[in-house]
Amino acid sequence: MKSDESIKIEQIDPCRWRIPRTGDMRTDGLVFASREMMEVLRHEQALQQVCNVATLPGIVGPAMAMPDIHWGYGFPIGGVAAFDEHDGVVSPGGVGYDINCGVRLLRTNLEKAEVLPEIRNLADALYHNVPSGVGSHRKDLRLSVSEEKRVLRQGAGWAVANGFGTLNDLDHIEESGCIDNADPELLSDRALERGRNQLGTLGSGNHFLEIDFVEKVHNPQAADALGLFAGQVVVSIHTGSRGLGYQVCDDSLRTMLSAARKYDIKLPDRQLCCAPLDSPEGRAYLSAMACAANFAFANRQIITAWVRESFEQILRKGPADLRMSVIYDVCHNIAKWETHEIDGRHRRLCVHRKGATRAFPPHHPETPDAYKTIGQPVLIPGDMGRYSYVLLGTETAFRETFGSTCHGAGRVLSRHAAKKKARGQDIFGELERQGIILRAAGRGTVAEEISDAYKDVRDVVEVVEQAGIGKIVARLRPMAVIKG
Amino acid sequence: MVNRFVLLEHTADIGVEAVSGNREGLAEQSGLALRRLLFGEAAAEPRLGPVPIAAAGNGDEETLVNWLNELLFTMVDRGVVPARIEVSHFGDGRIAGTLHGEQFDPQKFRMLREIKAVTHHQTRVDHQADHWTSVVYLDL
Repeated sequence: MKSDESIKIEQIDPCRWRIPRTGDMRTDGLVFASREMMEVLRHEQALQQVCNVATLPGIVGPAMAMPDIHWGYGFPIGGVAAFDEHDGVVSPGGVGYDINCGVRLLRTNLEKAEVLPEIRNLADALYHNVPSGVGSHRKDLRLSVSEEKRVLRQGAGWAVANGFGTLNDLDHIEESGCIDNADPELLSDRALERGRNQLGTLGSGNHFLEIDFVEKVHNPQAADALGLFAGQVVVSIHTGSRGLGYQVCDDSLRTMLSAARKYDIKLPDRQLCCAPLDSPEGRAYLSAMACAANFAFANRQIITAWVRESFEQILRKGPADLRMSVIYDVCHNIAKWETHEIDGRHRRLCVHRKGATRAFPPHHPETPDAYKTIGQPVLIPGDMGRYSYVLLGTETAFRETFGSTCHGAGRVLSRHAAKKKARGQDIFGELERQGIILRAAGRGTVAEEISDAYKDVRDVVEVVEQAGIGKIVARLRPMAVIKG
Repeated sequence: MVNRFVLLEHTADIGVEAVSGNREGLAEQSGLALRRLLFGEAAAEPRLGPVPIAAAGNGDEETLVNWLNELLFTMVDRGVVPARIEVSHFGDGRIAGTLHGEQFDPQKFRMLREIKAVTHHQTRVDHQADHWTSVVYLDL
């Protein structure tokens, strides 16, 4: 693989960089980053991955990367690419193993001061009620195969129908919590087996559950429309499709490696294996992917119900007092059919977002009714020691990035380097001195997830706002973090 | 030739480089790296009967990734902690081996991390004059 120092990059403006088309690239690369970020990027392999994506057949517009870009597999993390419905491809590597990994934000009626005395008890209750860590599951939620298939078809709707939440929740989820054309019969027995006892689990790694408070409101009008106010307690949930999604991806990669040979698609990286969208393999992947995406929507919905129960139990308040409603739920590993205007013509495209968030503008038909005048909420978690952001989608994003923006802070340290840096640190104690209660299954994951392992998410969202592909509404600061 | 593996840096995840005098040793060493990442150094006993692990693929690289994913499934989802991994054949698009170990017991073992999958990204299997090397990257 070519070192990124040798890739030609042209600065367009303070936060846009063009990688001109060369060699097998069918289009340019476009990277959103500050100068400081670009200096770091030149020393890793993510820019080469942007170039690799640009070689795929039927790509429309540039191969893009958001400012949280870092080295991934196939696509870079932070990658966005759109493909034409007739001559384009779909690639499982453009979605990732954790299909529909995403973030959900819940509001409450509570203020920081009234939650603070109970924050330890709340953290303990969440840690107890929401299974986290490797191999964890709730003994009271194990599905039959037929029930699991209903989850895969219905997504968050299955969870609501089974008592996990309200119909109102569904109006505040991307795709209303269910992607069409999910066909569970396409999934392997192994994928079904891996999912069966993992519904309602957080998992490990960078997944988390956080109690945050609104530290700063940047845009009062938009915050009001979202039901956010300064000092308010909110809850963030970051998880995905668990083992079921990983297996769907792995199974699909095997099919796509054969398909790439069958359709004579030249691959700069095997992880970019793909098939034409209009092929049996392409259609089958999208249907299987929809199953995993729906599993993830149901997963976050069930966790939401347990979060509500935990708050009610510890604070001894009812749902009407707590008013824990879903602000929004976004996917950040997904491929979706969307209509975009290209050179004055509406075209149906398959937009891949791998570590990137949809950011649709005000008045878009898929922006929820509640947010029609302000735009789609975009949820950007930072790291466990600093802050996260709530943004809104914009017209500029819709025009320029197929309605996409960043998904998080983006790692800067490898896990090994992070662990080395954390050696000797009292991570739990240091966070506690900052007012953050941490509950985690083990120190290992926590050491890999220290703040220094990530870019400062403020830098990332500032690039996003400067570029116009997102509008900052509020900054959230953690009070309690649950890690797997 | 000493069989060994080393862990490689990756911004978000981790890579495994294996070195061996033969291809079979690459599969064994890469498998042992997965075992180390999942369960650390905790010793396991070969209490279970041999668990056969086989995989096929197009070319050495694809075959190695598929085999390691089979191994990962056996360790994580079937809960078998390897005491040793033996590979009898690696070639012609096929790997056959056996895992000897014991059932995961939370009193004895801890699963240290989640490995989502062994990826196909930048996978290599190379033959030099007197040894073989392989590289795979894991999605954590």
